[in-house]
Amino acid sequence: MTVLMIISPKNRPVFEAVIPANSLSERQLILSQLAIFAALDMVDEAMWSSKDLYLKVVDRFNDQSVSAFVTPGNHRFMLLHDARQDDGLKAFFNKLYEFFIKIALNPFYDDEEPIRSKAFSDRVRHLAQEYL
Amino acid sequence: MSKVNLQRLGETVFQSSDRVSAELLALTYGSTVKQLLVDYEEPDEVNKQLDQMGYNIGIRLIEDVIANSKIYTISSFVDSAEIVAKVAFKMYLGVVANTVDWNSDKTEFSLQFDDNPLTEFTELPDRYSDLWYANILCGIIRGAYEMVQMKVECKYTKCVLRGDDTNEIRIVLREMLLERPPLDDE
Repeated sequence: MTVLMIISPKNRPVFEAVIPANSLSERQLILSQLAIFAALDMVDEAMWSSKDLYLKVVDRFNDQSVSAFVTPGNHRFMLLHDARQDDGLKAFFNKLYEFFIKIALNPFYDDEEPIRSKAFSDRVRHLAQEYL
Repeated sequence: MSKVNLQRLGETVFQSSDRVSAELLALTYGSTVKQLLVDYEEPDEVNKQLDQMGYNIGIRLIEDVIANSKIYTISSFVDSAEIVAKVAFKMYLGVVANTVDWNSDKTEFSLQFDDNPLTEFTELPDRYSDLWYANILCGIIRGAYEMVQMKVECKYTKCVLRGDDTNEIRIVLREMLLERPPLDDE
């Protein structure tokens, strides 16, 4: 079970995906969100000690890890995943970043607005199947 | 000129002309449409404005088409359609369109093209589902035709942004404008 969230520069969650879909109860989902939000502070610290956009594992929550990727525009991609998963994460984030750029370039997408694009979420799910 | 020759001509003119990056064009056009939506609020009204803007471009652009392609004689509406599809589209958009669905009188056809550089990054949100995003093209075609003495009506009928499999513009010839002397010309 994996949860992906994209957090805007002003700390608003603009995108959320549970992979596989609907695999979490409401309570579990809230818990995951909490774990991801808690990890944001770690990201703020970790991003200054790394040259890469991909920050690897920034925080742990029970038997799960939170990995992060920070875009130059300070959008944060947060991924809550099983601790042993590691391969493919970097590639996953890089691909996700490519898709995200497409969204950011869309003239109808306003900053800070939730990403509602169906195509984007389909692509993300597809990507997750491939790399995670 | 045959279709193949026209296609080759379009290619040559395209190669020899100055170009800007497709991203720049797409983003500039995108922000224009966005601003129109802010100003006019209704997608229908924006469609009209885009058409009018296109018209203003078209009546100027036709000179450039003719000068660069060196096609000085357009013998019929059928010929003109191929020129729009194979030469003009290639020159300004870098893509080639196809002319399909002619009616029996040869006064109506559809222009089909799969790629539209203007829509490269765009995804249409639900609240703008009535917007013909690239409607400016209709205006341009209408304006250009008018300058060569043909009054046409142009309408977007299919758009990839709306989930159609291709882009399609329907062009209907209304009348050939004849040069007449003014009524009270002594």
